[in-house]
Amino acid sequence: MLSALKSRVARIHRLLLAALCSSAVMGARTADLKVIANPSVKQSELSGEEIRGVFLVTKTSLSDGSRVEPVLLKGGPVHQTFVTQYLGKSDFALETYYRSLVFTGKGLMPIALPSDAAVVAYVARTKGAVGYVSAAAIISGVKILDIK
Amino acid sequence: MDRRCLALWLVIPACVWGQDLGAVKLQFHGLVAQGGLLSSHNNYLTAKTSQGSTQWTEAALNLSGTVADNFRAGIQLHTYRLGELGQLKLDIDWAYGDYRLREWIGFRAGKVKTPLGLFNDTQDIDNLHLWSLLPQGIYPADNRSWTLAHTGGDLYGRADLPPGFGSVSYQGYFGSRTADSEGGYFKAAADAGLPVEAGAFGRLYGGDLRWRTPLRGLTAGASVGLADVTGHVVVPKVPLPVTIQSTSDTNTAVYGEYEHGKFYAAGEFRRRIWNLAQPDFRIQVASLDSRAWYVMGTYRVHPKLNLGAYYSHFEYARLVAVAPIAPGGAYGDDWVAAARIDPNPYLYLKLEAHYLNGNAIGFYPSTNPAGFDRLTRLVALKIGFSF
Repeated sequence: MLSALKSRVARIHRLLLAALCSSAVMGARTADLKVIANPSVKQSELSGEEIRGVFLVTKTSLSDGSRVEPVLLKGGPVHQTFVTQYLGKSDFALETYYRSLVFTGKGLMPIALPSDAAVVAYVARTKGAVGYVSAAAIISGVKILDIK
Repeated sequence: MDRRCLALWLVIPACVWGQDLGAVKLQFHGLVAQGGLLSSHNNYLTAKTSQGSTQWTEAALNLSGTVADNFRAGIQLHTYRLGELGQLKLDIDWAYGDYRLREWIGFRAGKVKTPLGLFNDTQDIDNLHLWSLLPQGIYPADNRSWTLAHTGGDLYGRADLPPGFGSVSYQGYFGSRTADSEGGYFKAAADAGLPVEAGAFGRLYGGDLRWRTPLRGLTAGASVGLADVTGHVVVPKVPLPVTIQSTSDTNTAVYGEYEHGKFYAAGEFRRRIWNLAQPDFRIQVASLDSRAWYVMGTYRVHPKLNLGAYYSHFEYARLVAVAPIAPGGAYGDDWVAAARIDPNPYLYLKLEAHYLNGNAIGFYPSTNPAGFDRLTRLVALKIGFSF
């Protein structure tokens, strides 16, 4: 009976350890940056596909009807992390993609701002704006979106 | 800098670009590129490349803006010179209004770039590509205006498939175009002693379907484009121009591309069936069935350096024409290695080497009066600026 109990405890311990590692990985991914939106965006969470759609300008509105506009950081590690992990592109490939929209008339170049503070300020005052900032950025007047 | 100045510096850019959705947002972009070509044998693409030619210039300027939440409009002017082609004539590359009703349906009307294969609508935008010359069997620089754009209307949209199946986007179009009298077909006809008058005109219609697969970075698609054209040829000793007409010019393309991190690969197959006739006397002027394909790969070895290579093949499965075809003129192979340096976001340099076998694409009798050599080695150098 004691050995069965020890075995069960060990199994629970392994499961907890796996869960902690998993959440640590997820936490690390989302803890690197925050996705923020203007309060006019009704949704509180976005799927990976919705994030890609917003920032690749294939979506101009979400399923709840909210109009959206992407706002990017102009370079830096947070920008690199976002572009690589959420959009699956290199920085140069993303720039080329936006240029292909601009030079074929299929879209405008999304606005890119130099700092977390600039992104937060722009998102706060621009209806439908969705951006990303570092996890440590001070935010005010915007909502944080969870990424499913 | 105090807080009021900082706030002003944050507000001013926002005012320039437009602050709220629904407000007019305007953007102005452009590019200019200058290139050089040097070949070992033959003169290529109507330029005197065997002696080295810098007759290769392109420029574009565009102005576009969001007029309302779902409506965008813009215009792009374009000019080019490639050897004896283009002549720096100023053209409207595109000019249209775009209304996106829903994600799955939108409308464009005006002069719109035509979707056909991977690169048809961007082949004249030099800053978008690693390559100085795209695979010429499918994207001929001397005849790109033939399929580049149409004046008419488009229906387009995108939809997510059930989870695990990716998404699809589509584009259908119908319109017309006036053939470029400064382009390769007109020069080839003049070289054959049968110059075509300016103003050859016809309809274009077709569509493109693109599948973004569940495997991130992998896209596959297919396009079909149909066209007709009516023109008038000046025939020696005939007092009036003679009408020529093409009622079936069909391009079909199947393609795929894969992008992962620093690596990119693509491949495409294109088939063209084209019949030209003199309708009054029912004389067949030309009938061709051409097939072409390429495979390409690129790798970004450094944030400022991209390297790539491609192989392309072109052949006429059937070619019947009033003008004789030179030996080696029924096929063309091209092995290419290229590098692109981007010192900053605005400036770029390209260096490219070609080994061509065959004379089917890009070789003109008037610029090669001594005939063609089957093999050509070519180097292309380009410098460009875009904003």
